[in-house]
Amino acid sequence: MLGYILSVFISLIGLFLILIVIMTIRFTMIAALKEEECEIGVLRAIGADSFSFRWLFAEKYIAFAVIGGALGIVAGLPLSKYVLSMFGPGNIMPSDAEIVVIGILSVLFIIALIIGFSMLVMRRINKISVVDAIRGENRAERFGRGGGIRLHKRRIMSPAFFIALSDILGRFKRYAFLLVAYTLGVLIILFVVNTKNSVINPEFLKYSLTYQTDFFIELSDEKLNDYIKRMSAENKNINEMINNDIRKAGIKAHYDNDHYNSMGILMQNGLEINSTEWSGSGDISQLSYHEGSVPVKENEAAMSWSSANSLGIQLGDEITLKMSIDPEKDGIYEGSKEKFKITAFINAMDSGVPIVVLSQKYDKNPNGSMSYWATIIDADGSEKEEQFRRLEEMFGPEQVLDSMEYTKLCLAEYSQIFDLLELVMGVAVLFILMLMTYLYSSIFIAEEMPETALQKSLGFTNGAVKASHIFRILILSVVSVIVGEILLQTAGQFIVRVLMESLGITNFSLMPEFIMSFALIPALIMGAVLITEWFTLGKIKKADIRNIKDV
Amino acid sequence: MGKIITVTDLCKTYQQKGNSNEVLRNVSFEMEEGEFVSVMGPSGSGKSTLLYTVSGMDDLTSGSVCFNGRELSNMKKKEISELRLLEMGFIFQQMYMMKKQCVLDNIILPGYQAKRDRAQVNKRADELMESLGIKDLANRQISEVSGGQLQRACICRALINEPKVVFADEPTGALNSKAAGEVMKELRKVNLSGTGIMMVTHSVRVAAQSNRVIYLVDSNIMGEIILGRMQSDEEIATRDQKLNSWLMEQGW
Repeated sequence: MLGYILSVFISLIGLFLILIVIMTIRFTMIAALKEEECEIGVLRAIGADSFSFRWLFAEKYIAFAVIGGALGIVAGLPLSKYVLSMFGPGNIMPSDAEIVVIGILSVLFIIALIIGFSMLVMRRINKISVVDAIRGENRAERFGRGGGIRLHKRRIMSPAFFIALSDILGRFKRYAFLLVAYTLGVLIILFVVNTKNSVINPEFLKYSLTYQTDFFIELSDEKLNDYIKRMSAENKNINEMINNDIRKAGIKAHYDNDHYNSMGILMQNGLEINSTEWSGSGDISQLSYHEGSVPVKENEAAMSWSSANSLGIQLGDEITLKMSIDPEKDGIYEGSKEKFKITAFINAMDSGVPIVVLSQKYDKNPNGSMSYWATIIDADGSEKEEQFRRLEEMFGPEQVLDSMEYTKLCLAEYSQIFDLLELVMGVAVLFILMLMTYLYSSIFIAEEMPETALQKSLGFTNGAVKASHIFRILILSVVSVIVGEILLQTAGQFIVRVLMESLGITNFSLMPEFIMSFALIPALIMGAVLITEWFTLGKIKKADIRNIKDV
Repeated sequence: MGKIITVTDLCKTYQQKGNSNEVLRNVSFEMEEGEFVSVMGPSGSGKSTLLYTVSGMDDLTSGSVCFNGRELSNMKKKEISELRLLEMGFIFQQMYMMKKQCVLDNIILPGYQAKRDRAQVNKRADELMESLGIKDLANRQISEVSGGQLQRACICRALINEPKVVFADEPTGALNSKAAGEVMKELRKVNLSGTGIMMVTHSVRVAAQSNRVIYLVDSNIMGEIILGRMQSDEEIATRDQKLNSWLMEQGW
């Protein structure tokens, strides 16, 4: 599962980067074309053919792509090895040859993409009117409508905010790509963080049949030895003894550990498939049910949905399990083919080995080992906290884990991977967003020098001019955060559900942590782009009356 | 009437790639409150540079410019911006406007930026547009109005904050003669209401409508002629002739 999740996320960021590259090429090429429109007009007027300009402009980007690609391979290979090694020493690393080949092929692909796209964008040269270009007019494009909002109808909107908003609304196409980039960046970061919050979550443990974890006793070596010594005297396992000790202390908590795990063989459609059976008198009603009703009768069972689905087993079907059972409870086990009617499907991560949960009434004692499915504090609210505190007093605070601590312990490997993913993807995406902000802002500032000069001539201070630029990025980033959050809850939920279902994890949905998801991460992203914007605005000071001539 | 502008030994030199270009050299003059002054001279004589340095839009190399009793070289950029916003207005040859906003929004922009009461600003804009005959153009985009109408909108914008002086750089340069005549009529009206005007122009006919003409040659003031306040349109021809003769004597 881990490898699959990693592949998905790395692919996501790869696609994001490719999209960013394409969008940025388009934007910068169009900006460069606008700047050199007059020269192009003259060249066309004297008869130069359009393919030669397209090549003239595109070759710069192609050169960047080739040089960048070469540098990317040289720098990227050791870097990718290092990053791969961060994702756990247990991972099987690809060979150096594989890394080099994949790296080269990827770079060649990107270069081909850039070349193709550059030539496509350059077709705009054909649309340049020779006369307009030479006269430098093109009034139709320069003097469009201002987005529909009117300053004189606004009672409190500041001129700086108005200029920013009307610019975005009036020239939306200009900002569309930046908005898309910001939104995708927000979405990717939120997706990673929320997936982590949802997986490293006590709710996720239900997929391994641990339906509730209010506490966990992680015994110290000393305490463990004490319990081991008591085992033969009391003829109970450790969890049973802990349960007794807790009950004697009058603490309202217990392990639900009357569950027995045995290995069997499912005979279905002429196939024999290894399966895991769960039996015992422990509570099975608390499992996460996908469909159907809790098995009640002795011959009823619930099955993991993903395996049932792949085997074509429906509700009401009868299955045959080859099991080793001891119906007389005399310690003598015999092989038996037991038939069960499937009354429910459960949501469980079975990794292709069907899980069958028998009803509590099935008492033929399959040959299995005992396990617990839940650790329950039988109280609510403040009383629950009180009981937890009493457990800490009894066993020592270092030995009693709360729900989240236990979850992280169970999912330690996942937790580490997700932490790294958060860091790597978060840093990468933030860096890309800041770079894009810098690039686009620099182009905007250069293009808008004449209007900046006009504003300054009217008495706008540098601060007032900068304010409209800051507002512009603020508006774009706020909109992208909102759209990103909506997309996460719609498309994101759909994607993660499909992904998880392919792993046999059904009914999975993202559970965002409110403050992180709706406050901290948006604030971080917006802060990063706004700070970048601020640092780009130093050039505003240079605008003076001489720049006004191009308005 | 007091002095609104006092310029003393103003020098402006542009440095570019090791070469220096002295555009203004020891220029000194004064302008009274409510006066209408034209600045004329051949191309490259420093007319526009004089306008921009006196208004604080460009830095001076040396000398002093005093606007309404305040020395510009002692002021911070922010203070000069505020001065420009509240006490100066600008009219350019090319009718520079914010491209995406309608005519009215362009006019009120400096008023809102000055944080004045918005209802008052809107009312003043209405009055100005009414007075200049462009009230029905309020919601039009700037691409939908003629050059003359746009220049009148620029005049409205320049006057929105009731400035002490309006600086005009070739305000009729991009207009046909009819539109130019209309704009000059409006500028005279503005001046009659007490607002000073400092105007750069190539046109003798246009300059002849001002109170005083300063003639700039080779980075310095060669001379000036006082024409007095124009009372009616009938005087244009006489004033034009008088100014022409004087300019010929100056070597125009």
